[in-house]
Amino acid sequence: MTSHASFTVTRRAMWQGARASVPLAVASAVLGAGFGVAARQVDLALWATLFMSGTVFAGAAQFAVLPLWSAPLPLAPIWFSTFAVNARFSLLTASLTSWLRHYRGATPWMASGLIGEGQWAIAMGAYARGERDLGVLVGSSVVVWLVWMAGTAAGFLAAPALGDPRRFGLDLVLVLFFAATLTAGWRGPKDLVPWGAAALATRIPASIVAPEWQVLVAALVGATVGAWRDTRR
Amino acid sequence: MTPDASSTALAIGGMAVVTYVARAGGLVVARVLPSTPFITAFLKHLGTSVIVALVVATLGKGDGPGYLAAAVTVGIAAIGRPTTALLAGMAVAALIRAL
Repeated sequence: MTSHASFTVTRRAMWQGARASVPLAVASAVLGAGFGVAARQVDLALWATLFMSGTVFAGAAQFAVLPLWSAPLPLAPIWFSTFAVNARFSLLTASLTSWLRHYRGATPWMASGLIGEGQWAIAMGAYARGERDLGVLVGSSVVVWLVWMAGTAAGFLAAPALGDPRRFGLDLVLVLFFAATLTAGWRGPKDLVPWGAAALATRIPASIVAPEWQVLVAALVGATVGAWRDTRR
Repeated sequence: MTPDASSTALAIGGMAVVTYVARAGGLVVARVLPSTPFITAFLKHLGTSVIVALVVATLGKGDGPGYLAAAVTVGIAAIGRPTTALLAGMAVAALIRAL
């Protein structure tokens, strides 16, 4: 199971990451379908919907720009909103530093391009068990990307028949998946301090922190409080 | 009005670029930060803090069934059934909304 200190990217680890991603794949497929439905509602073309899911590969940001989608396209607001919503990914990448710094050349730059909460959680689970093969992240990301694309296409095509995705609880799939992920990340009651701080910080009024920065700021508050608690004497 | 294909492609291409910058930017941030015990602990807490913040912020914007669905999901996930947990949570929300 463990392969200590082998900082490689092997096919075996990719397969392991893919198999660990089954629950995540269910969530991604359903979320992708929800995005396909929503994209069709704003008259995004099928090619554009798939192009966005394929290259941006970030559900929350993709949903966030849809209300802006009418001609002439407001490019700066679209790009700014995307960056603000996705800036949290830089935190996930940064948290993988102790792992990624062992790789040279283009590997860290390509691996970080795959980052999303789900793949990150799968990879960190493997890391915590002593795995040091980045293939886990690659395998998980490939599975997630494929089902995300398939879900997007299916949702787009089935949109007229489906109606309101909320009727099936589809709007909740991502948040429920992340809530489930947290049970695996739980390291005991001492986590209540940083987690509680992050949760409270999401309640900072919008007049101080704009809604699109809310998650990033709250995560920084949680990690700062956790680090302060761990290092104070 | 529906935007034309070229401006649509430009808008989405730009989204892809800024998203990559957001993802890979973490490598730059981590290289710039000094490796003190505080920073090490900070990085250790970052990932789960992102997920906690995302869950709480999203639920806060939603409706009541969202909280109940999340509670059901966490309860079932805690006994090691993540896929069942996810589907059960969705079913709870769908059921309450149908009532």
